[in-house]
Amino acid sequence: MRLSELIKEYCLNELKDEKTKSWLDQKLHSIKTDQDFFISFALINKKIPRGHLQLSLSQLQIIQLKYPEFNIENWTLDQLCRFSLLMYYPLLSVESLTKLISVADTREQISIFKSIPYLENASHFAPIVVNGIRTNIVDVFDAITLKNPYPASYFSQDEWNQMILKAVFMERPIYQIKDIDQRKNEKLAHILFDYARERWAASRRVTPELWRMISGYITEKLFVEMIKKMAEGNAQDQKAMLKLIQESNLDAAQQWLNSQSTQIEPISWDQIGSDFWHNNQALQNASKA
Amino acid sequence: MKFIDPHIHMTSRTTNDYEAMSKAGIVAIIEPAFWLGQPRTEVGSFKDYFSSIVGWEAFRASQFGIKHYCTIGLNSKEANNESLAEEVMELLPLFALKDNVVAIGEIGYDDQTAAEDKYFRVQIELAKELELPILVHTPHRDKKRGTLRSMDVLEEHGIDPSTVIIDHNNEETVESVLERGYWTAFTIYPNTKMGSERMVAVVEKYGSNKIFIDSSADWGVSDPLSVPKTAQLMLDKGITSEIVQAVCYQNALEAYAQSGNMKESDWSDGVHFDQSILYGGNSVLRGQPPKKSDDSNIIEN
Repeated sequence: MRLSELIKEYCLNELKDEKTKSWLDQKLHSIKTDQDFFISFALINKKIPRGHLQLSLSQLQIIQLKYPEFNIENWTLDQLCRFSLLMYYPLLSVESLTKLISVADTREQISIFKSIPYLENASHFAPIVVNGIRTNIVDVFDAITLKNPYPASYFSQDEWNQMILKAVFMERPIYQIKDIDQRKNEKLAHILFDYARERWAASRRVTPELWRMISGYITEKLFVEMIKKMAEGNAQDQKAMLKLIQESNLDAAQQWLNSQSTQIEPISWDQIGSDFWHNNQALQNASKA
Repeated sequence: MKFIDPHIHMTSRTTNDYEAMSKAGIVAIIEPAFWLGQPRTEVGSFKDYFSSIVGWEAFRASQFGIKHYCTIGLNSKEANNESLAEEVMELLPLFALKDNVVAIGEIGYDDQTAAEDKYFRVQIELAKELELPILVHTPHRDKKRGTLRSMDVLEEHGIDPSTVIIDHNNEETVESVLERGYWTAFTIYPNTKMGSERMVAVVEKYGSNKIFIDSSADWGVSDPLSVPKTAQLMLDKGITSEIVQAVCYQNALEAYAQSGNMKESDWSDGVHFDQSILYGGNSVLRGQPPKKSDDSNIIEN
């Protein structure tokens, strides 16, 4: 079964109110104009409840098996209904989607950006998504950047690099960006190292996740700079830098490693990212309390 | 004590204000759609402005732990540009259904022209259709007549007064507005509207029933702490804390909760931006927690 049909089925099942259920069902099959589409999309806000789906184990297994990237646990019912409207509207175009986003509130924008990867001719919407990255509303930025297959598939190298740089700048969890390792590139590595230098010059800390995107591109010169800074970093920073060094083919790096007496515990980049992220969340919660 | 400022134009205020408001105990605010200080000339300006008060400004407020709501409407001043007003009428339904919209407003009269009257009535009908409360701006010139006329027109359209907030009241309007069953709001704004001491006198005379206050702080010289300051003044003058709570929090909540979009649970556990997002963070922009303002000359690194 196609993803759109599966999701439609789940949404209709979940809607307890008969009137709402038939309204949605009817709309999905009958919208023929942009105006009707915009109004229907806006009405989701009023008509559809917000909670997560109560899926049976078999329903969950079906969708996880066929569409593991969809991460259905991250979608609420209203978001899935918007997804359905987008998937079923036959006249959806770059123009109509641009207009929709221009009048969308935060919640609606999040639904739209999560849905775009699954639309027919998804690649046509790249300018819209690239423009979406320019937001300063963190939740919208996250909807595009985190756990979303779209940027890795459709962004150009420069667009990808700008997104990563902004994610680092905004202190977002890099380890949650899809295909972060696959899209590493030399230009990005140098931009990020420059960013690290800027932070060091300002006596500010650098996220330990930064080194993940630099791994594989370290030069002798950069290696020497890094080693100098290593002593100043805390345990998390050092773990990340060590991992980069381990992954490096550089002779200087290998020699330096061999000269170290301490045992290095293996750790994944994801774990480094996750530890850093959860540590920060805890600190922020503590400061609010 | 917690406060609500149900009328404040945050687009023209800085983060210093947000910090001060948060520190003073303001937990929720309502930003009515208004003009920008000079007339807009294109419908696109309205569209982007409405978009900012349903999205960006609400996000900005949340970073300071303040829950932000807004009203959508064409204000009386700009209703006088009729061709533009027609275009704005088409935009309104697209924004009035958003999550944080608690009323159609702020609408009413400025100079009491025919055009203002026309768009006041069109928007009253829209509020009826969308089942939203109405926030009425009373004119600053010829206020008494304008206020009475506003109420007459609302009643002509069959609107229930308890679903309407009449704002910017003063000693001359308070009695008729209260008598006719409307929510009676007062704006504590230096020189041109109410002063806080006069407000104390109003509450002493009329009690707290259906009365609440706001700052209407905007791009002019105004005080985003009007509500908590007036609350403190009332307490200092011996008004009970029950009455102060009603005038500075509870009544505004009751009036606007009628929209279905405003409830205490929205902020009682702290303000998170979108609770359904499992991975979205609530981290403050630039990585700094909201801080109390300092007097020192050192800007934090």
